[in-house]
Amino acid sequence: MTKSTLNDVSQGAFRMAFQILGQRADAQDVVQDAMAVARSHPSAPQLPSLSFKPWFYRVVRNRAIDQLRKRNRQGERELFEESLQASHKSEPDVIREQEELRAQIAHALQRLSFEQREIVLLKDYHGFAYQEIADILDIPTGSVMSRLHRARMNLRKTLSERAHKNVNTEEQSR
Amino acid sequence: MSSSSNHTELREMLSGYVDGELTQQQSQQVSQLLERDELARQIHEDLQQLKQHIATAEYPSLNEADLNHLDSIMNDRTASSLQLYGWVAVVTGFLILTVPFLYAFLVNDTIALWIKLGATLLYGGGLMLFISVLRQRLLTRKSDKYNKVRL
Repeated sequence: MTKSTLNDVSQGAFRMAFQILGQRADAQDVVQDAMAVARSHPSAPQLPSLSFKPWFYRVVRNRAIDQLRKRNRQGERELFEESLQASHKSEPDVIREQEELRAQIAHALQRLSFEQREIVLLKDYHGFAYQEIADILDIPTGSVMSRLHRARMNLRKTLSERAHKNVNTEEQSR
Repeated sequence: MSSSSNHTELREMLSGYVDGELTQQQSQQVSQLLERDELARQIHEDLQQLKQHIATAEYPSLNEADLNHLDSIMNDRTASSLQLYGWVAVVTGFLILTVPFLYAFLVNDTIALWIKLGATLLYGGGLMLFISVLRQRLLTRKSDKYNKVRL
């Protein structure tokens, strides 16, 4: 098993756990637990098998959901403090514009249901193929596209409503 | 299928088109839709932008020490070996204790046949019940608590 491949999988799985849990320490714990499972579980695929990554993400996701449920039972409701930040590759004005847009997208993502948010992030952030997403979420491959499309359309709708709201606020303030 | 429902279905394929997950025939159908449908073009453009922005979002990363720690967990040969030896020991011990006992029990002429039969049914039935519960647990894992998550 190459160390760099394992590092890439670990890094991605950690970010997914962070996207679910919104807390670095919890996300780290979840990935560590999942790694111990990956080492000892008899049916765990082994790297460099391509099926290891979706399998590992699935374990991390399930552990993160357990963690969330535990938190909810304990009364903690402050979840999903995601921090979508801008990359720093463009001119200042463009950066500011892109930062605003990313902040809006982050906000719109928060308003999606858990299921819709995770499918959008698995595809658009983590770059999984539909078959892999189906494996991670344990759903039929045929329903990935329709679920994803519904989620994206909701995201688009939320962004458009927000844009209209901003325009109205600006007009009123003039 | 009516023309409008076909239209709606094609619009639903826009996500697959943006992700490059459609067949060649489906892609051609969506391309034709994009040529004639202004709304579909707008949705297509928006979806591409959304995808691009989400892809370049930044989230925290694990540092080198964290990654090394995970690597050491995954490649902890001592833990893997201990686990393997542990299972071998448990299974061997179980066999050493049960097989001779079972043999002696079944061939013992001083024990009445009805007792042998009764004991075999009792333990055999218990084992079957255990397997059925285990099987049920495994089956329910397929439609498990991580599906349709509501939090």
